[in-house]
Formats: sequence, C-alpha cells, structure tokens
Amino acid sequence: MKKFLAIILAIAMVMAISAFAFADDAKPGEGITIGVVYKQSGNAYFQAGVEGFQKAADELGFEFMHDGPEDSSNDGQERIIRNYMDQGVDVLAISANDAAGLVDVCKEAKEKGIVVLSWDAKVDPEGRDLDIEPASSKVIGITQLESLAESCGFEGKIGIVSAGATAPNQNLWIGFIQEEFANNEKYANMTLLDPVYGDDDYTKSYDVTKALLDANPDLKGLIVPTTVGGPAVSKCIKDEGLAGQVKVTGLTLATDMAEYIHEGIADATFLWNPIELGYVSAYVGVAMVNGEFEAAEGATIEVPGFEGLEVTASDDGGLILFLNKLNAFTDETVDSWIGIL
Amino acid sequence: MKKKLSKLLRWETMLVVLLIVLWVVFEARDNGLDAALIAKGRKAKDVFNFSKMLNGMGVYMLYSFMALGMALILGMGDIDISVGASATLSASVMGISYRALINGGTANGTAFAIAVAACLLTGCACGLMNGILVTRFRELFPMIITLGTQLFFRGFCYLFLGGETLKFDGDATWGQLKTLYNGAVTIGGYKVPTIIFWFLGFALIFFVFLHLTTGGRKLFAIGENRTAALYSGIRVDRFELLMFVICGMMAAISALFYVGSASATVRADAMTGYEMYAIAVVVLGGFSTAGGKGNIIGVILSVIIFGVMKKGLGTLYGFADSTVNLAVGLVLIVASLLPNVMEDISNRIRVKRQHVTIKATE
Repeated sequence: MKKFLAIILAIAMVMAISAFAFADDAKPGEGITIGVVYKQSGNAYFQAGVEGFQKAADELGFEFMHDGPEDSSNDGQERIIRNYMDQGVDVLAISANDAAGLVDVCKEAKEKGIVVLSWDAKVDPEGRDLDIEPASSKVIGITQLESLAESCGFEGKIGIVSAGATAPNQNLWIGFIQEEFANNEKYANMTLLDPVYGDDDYTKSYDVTKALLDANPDLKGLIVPTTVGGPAVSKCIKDEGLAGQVKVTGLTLATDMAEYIHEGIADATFLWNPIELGYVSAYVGVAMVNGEFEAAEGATIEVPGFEGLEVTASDDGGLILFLNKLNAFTDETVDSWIGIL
Repeated sequence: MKKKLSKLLRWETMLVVLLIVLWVVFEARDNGLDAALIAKGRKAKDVFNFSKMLNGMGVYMLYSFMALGMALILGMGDIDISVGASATLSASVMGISYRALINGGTANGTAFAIAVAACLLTGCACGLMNGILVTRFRELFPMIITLGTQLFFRGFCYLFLGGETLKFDGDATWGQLKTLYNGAVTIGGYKVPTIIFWFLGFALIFFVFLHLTTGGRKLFAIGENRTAALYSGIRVDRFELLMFVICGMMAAISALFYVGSASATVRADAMTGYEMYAIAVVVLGGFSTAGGKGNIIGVILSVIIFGVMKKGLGTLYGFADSTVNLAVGLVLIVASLLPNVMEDISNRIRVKRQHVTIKATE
C-alpha cells in the first residue's frame, strides 16, 4: 500500500513540476488559441499541414495545439475536440475522418462561440463555419492544361488519360479543360484528343497510353488527372523511347513521379499543398476571432502570398474558401515532397 | 470467505485512493496553469473541474456497457475479444435494416423499433456464436476463437457497408439515437449526461446478479474451478453460453450509444479496439483474467478513473490522444501486478516473523 502510494506520488510530482511556456508579443493573434485536429497522428501529410499552422503562428503570434487519433476514428476526433473545448480554444480547425460524424460536437463548439473551420476534409455544413480547400475544379483543370501547353510550346496534338469513364471528379476537371481549350485563343494551334480511360489501374493505363501513342505518332503531350495513371503513363512513354518528345502533366503524388520529373518526361505535375492549407486556415481563424472577417458568401480575406481568396457557396450547401493555388512538383521542388505527398 | 471479502474491499479502496490522488494532482496542475495565466494578465481558463469532467464523461463511457458484459466473461475465466466487432456488426445491421424498411414504406417509428431490436438480436447472435464455439471446442483458447469471430464479424461489416458512411440526414426518428448519447439533465447546477444513468442502471442489475444471486455464485464457481462446478451440479456449458449471449447484447447496447455519439452515422471501421478498452476497465476494476473474482463496484470505479485520467492528461498536460494510452497501459500493468507483488511481500514478512519467533524461542 505504501509503495503503491509512493509510486503514484512520485509520478504526480514529476507531472506537477512541468509547465508551459508562452511567448508574449503584440500581434494580431495574441491571446488566441487554435486547436488543430487532423485525421491521424503520425501522418506526414498532416505534419506538413501543422508546419503551415506553425508558419502562421510565427507571424501572427497565436498559440496552437494539434492532435489526431492514432486509428483515424471518429470518436478519437471527438475526444480531442472536447478536450480542446475544455481548454478554451477560440478556433477549431478540423480535417474530419467522417464529414457527418462530427456534426454534433462541432455544433456544440459553435454554440460556445468557437470558430469551427474544416480544412482538407470537410465537416458537414451544419457543423462548420467555413471549409477551406485547395482549389476549385475549374482551377484544377485549367492549371494542368496551361502547364502542358507551355511544355509543348502551345502547338501540336495533346490527349488526356483519365481514371474511369464515370469518375465524377475527373469528368468535372476534363469538362473545364475542354471548355477552356475551346474558348481560349492561346490554344488555337493545338488539337485536343478525346479522353481515354485507364480505370485507375496501372496496367490498363499503361496499355491505353501505348495504344494512343501508336495511333498518334505526332502526339506532343498527355494530361493525366489521376494519381494512379501518372506513373503508368510516364513509364509507357519512357519504355517507348519517347522521353522528351511526349510531355506529361497531371495530378500526381510527388513520390510516384519524382523519377519521371527528373528524367524530363514531365516538366511539372500538380497536387495541393497541405502547408498552404494550414497557413491559410490559421489566418482565417485569427481574422474571424478578431471580427475582421466573417464567413459569408463573397467575403474576401488578405493572406500574404495569396490573391483573391473569396468565400463561395459549396455544393453541399455550406460555405467554402478555395486557395486556388496548386502545388507544382518540378525538377527542383519534387524531392522535398517525397514521402509527404 | 471473510479473508476474501476483506481483500476485495481493499482493492476497491485502493481504486478510490487512486481516483482521489489523480483528482488532487490534476486540480493542483490546473490551479498552477491558471496562476501562470493570471500572472501574464490573462483570464484563468479553469480547464479541469468537476462540472467539465462530468459533462465530458460521455465519450469515455461508450465502452462501459461492453465492460459490464466482459466482467461476466472474465469472471468465468474466459475472454471475448470480439465485442468491438460484434458491436459494429449490430450497428451495421441496425442501419441497413432501418434503411431497407424505410425504403420499403414502413412508418419511421415502426422501422426504428424493428431496427433497434435487430441491433440487440445481432449482438445476442454474435454472443451465441462465440458461446457455442467456446463451449463445444474446449481444446481451443477462447482468445483464439473470439479472435476468429472478431475478424469474421468485422468482415461482415465491410461486406454490408463497404467504405460507406450510413446516415439518415434530417430523419428525426433515427436522430433519437443522438439524444440517447447527447441527452443531459441538470442536477444541482451540474449538467449530467444521461449515459451516466444508463450505465449506473445496468451496473446495478449486474451488481445484483453477480453478488446477490445464485447465478453470480455459479459464475464465480465456474471461474474458480470449472470441473468442480460441473460436478457440483452446475450446467456449465448452458450457463456459459448464456453469459456469452448477454455479453454480446451488452456490446449491441454500446453500439446504440456509439452510433449516437457519431452524429447517428454508422461506419464499418467504428469501435475498432474497443474490446481492449473494455478488458482494461474490467481488469483494473479487480477482475482477474484467471476467473473467480471481481466486483462490479470496481468496474464502475475504473470506468471513472480511466475517464478522469485520459481527460486530465489530455487537457492539462497536453498529451496527444494516442499518447494517453501510455499512461493507461502503465496503470493497467501496475494494477495487474500489484496483487501478486503485495502477496509476495506479505509472505516474505510472515516468513521473517516466523524466523524471529523461532530464534526467540531457541
């Protein structure tokens, strides 16, 4: 019994000694605490997101805590959110494992006057004030088209290797690509072939690419708006000995594409940037607490390094803010993203 | 018998002491943090207090119903590590049947009643399957059997739901599940979640059964010595089977609350690892995995202790949610070793004393 108490007391004393240190400065974020909740702890993607919050914290002077459940569970996120609520955070920035699952606890937080933002993965509209996402479908489509056209010198024949024929995201992006291609003068010297589909399968993507290359020996470039397709298409071009003649761009993971980007098969591929997502979320949160910005349709906010950030209505009936800036993986930048994206 | 009783009492007293120590330490830390804030000219946050603890207890009680069922199983010297998956399967069946009934044109109220019944029945069925396998195949460890059924049940969840999140937006009848979890009553100025009353109600039933009826005696007799119990006229297999069914049902009851906590949504990967929390609570509560002893009061106390500890470590010390388990694990190890260590020490002292008396008489 005595020993038991002694052990407990020893542990207790160690804990009681430790204390937090706070930095003091007259900055806009002074006195504001942000609770960052992400899908899973120990995930490199969210570590990058936290880096963004850290960068903003250095500039604005707010404090933030961050955590995610080890098992990507809904109840784990609820526990963390409730703990943050008890600790008196002013802002919750959540990347939700389940958009619907956190609505109740988020509503409770909103009732307490806490600003609830979702970033990267949304919380359903009733539970959030604002959702912050990388880019609208239009920007995602046009960015890829522009990049490829630049690689090809704005002339020649280009094609698209997509995922499934019914994949909703890809079809939306391709729709914007086709619309922009038809309406923008700078693409007048180019031809856009109908998309082919690799069904998000490596072998199938490889095969359809080979067929497309055989049928169009004068092909100048391919847009691949799917992470599985990117490396398959690049490998096919490499195997056919067309490296440098046929350029690739698309939405891809840096880890998959680094090799092909270094070999010049792709000049640039794209994905979003979790650091920027975190950075902007932090700025939005601080501005909302200070009453400088209100989440309403058409509201705009100034964040260093970003232009035209505007709140729009989202498809799910809530409010959304697009960064509209994609993360380009190029020969210089791709290596720093390996293992993260 | 008398000695045993005092031993049990001692364990519960120890848990109360642990709880008080935790509380005092956390309060001190909280006051320290507040003092630091005030010194900086900020407002005190009072992160940890009785009202906040009580209010936030719900999320740490989701597995408490499972734990009550698990107490029966551990009391018999068995183990059931499939309860997490049984609960998810029960929730899945509930969601699927509700959707099917609504689409089939059944009135919401009726459909909901049937769905809840289906949920409880699924839990019972899972328990029945475990029970049959455990009692028929004595040569296999219950741990291995229920590991198998755990994977089997979890597989079914994915078969039914895939990666889908089952939800019924704006359906007030289905939304009752949310009220079940989120509901609270105000007593003396404190907001007390109703889940606490549900748990205490069930705990009372289990307490009466385990400690005041012959059923409970049979259970501990089986845990103490299965063969002896059999020869003293207890229908061991039938009794054990029934206990597994009850354990499955308690898992299904946990599932009802869990679905409520997840804004009334059902997912196939829900409640992963809950069986381990349930076992941890029961073991800290004083049930031995070898069977034959334990007290429901201890289980109630350890549910509170785990809640307070996780909450305190998370909010006051900035422990990440995943790191909190480190402390839980530590307490569990100490808790399960302590009785042995103490017995060892007392034996040694006794031997020493005997030596002394022998020497003195010489």
